[in-house]
Amino acid sequence: MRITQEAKEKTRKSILEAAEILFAKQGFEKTTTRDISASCGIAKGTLFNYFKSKETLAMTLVAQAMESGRKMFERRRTGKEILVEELFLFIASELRALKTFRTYIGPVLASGMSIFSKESICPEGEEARRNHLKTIGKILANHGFEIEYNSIVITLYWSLYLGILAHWSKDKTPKQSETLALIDYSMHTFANTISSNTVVPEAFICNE
Amino acid sequence: MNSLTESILSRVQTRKIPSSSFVRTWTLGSSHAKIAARYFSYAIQKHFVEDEKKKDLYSHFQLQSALQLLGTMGYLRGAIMKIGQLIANLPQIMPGELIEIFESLQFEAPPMHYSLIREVFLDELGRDPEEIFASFEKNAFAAASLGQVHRAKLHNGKEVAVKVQYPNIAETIEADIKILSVLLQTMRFKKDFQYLGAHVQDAKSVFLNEVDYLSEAAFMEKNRKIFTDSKIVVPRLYPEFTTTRVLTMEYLPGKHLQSFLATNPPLSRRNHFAELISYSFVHSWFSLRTVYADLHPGNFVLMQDGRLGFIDFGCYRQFDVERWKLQVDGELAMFQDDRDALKFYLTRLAMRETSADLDPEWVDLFMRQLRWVIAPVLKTGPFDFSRTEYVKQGADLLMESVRQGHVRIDPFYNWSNRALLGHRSLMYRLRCKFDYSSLYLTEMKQFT
Repeated sequence: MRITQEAKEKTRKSILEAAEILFAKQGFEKTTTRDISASCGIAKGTLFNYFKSKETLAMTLVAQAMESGRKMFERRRTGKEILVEELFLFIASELRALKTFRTYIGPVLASGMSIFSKESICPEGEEARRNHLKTIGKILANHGFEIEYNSIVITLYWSLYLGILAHWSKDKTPKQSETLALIDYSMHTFANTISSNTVVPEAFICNE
Repeated sequence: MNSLTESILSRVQTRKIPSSSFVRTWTLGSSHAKIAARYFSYAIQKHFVEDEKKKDLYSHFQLQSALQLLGTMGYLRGAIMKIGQLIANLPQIMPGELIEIFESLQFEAPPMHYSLIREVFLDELGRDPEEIFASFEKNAFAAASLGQVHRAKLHNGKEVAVKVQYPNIAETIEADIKILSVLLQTMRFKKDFQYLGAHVQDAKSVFLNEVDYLSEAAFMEKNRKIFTDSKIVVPRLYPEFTTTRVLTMEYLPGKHLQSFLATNPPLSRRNHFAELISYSFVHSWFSLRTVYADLHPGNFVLMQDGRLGFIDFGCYRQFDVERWKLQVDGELAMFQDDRDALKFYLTRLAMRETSADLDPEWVDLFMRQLRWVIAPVLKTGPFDFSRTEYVKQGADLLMESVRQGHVRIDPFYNWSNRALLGHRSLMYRLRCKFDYSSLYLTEMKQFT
């Protein structure tokens, strides 16, 4: 019997929904693909027809949330923001959409968006990264910065962004307020750097 | 007059007392912060060396590095700001050099942009400001303790002022105080070091209270009650739009001190507002047993109809019953020149067993400070607050106490000292002359 495209979509959706619930309930590490397939009433092998691994599955969820964060950003932006403000709004909107994944986003991103390779080992992660950076490119262009995708500016941004995500995932302050301050500070640093408005702090110059 | 006194005096004339200007101090990563850090380090080491005649170079460098690191932690906006405020409240550890350095910084916290404001609103009230209010001005119109104030309009048309706190301030203060406590360990061989810890802990409790806008709102409501039927207006609170980090209150139209003085008002008008400011301070002191420690121009609105808006209630310290009784008895002893009662007061204030244990040098200085403080109360009829000599004397005494570095004293003294200096400085700027004695003694009689 041939499975219709519609049925495939339905199964894919139910796997994602079951995974999201289980990850939130028992944690990413403790949830197995067997738990997920059992929860949505499919054979374990069937799950692998849809997702190569638990990490890919989680990365897909994260990528979806990032996408909805991007849409939230588009809705909220007024077009009158200065560069720092617009970058801040984008990241803050995205983190808001990613909230349910906060506690286990670390291992997901470590496997889905390797920080050591230029290209991600996971296609879903790579796509999420490209989409995120495409939006950053647009924001920069809105403020007069035409930046190539592979430029050092983008690498600098990406480093700051991963640092924010890493901090956020472990942020124990109420409502992760420390991360808000960190996004603001990081984006000020980034904007100042690309505007060549940078001073190397004396404390970082080693004389010895 | 030495250069430091001159600079303090000029600041009093133009702006505010040294301590209050620390409120907006934050710099972080700037060379000024590092210079300040080095001076602080140097001054602490100086105490250490003077007292013990030995040098611990390792801890000197360690301390210096730690302070430099602190100075670079830019995103923790509370850090330098609060440590600066703390140092300002502890003149005993505040070396003269540091006053000048910090005073020269003049750092203003850069405004929170609107995207950040929206995130704070989403976290605190679950909605964007424009959803909550009929209108919300994106640019702040004033700086506030640890945040900024925006004008907005409620859906019923009422104008409000919305105070928004910078994220994560409360958490950084605890961390900062821990760092400071570690840094101060280098002074551990200094005489009376253990009392320094009490000052730091006391300041910490006041600061942590200050970052909780719900606590401020409660104190504002208390003040609203005690000033009903007076010419002091305390804004109405809107609790439905108030949380620990967002405070919504009635907007009071009027002028701040500087713009009021720019209109060159006559003496009668200046006296009128000076009396109201004094009344707000003294009435709160006696009826709530509270010292309002943030007496600076930005916290008052001089209204067109002659009323005075009293608008910021973040920084205060309440007496407990026992301490309050001691304070009142001490004041009575001063006014009546009752030497024995005064000795008892000083002994308790300096946490000594008997008056024979008191440090004569400190007693001498403290008595001169007291005489300066009570001069306007002892003067029958109008007291001329505009006399430069009077303010200069207060600044000199402050510097002398800084030099003496006496830490064995009830921490409450830090706040009352700051409040009194703030009051005298406001009076000086208003160049007023009125019967402060009657105002003070009437309140004292009514509530004690």
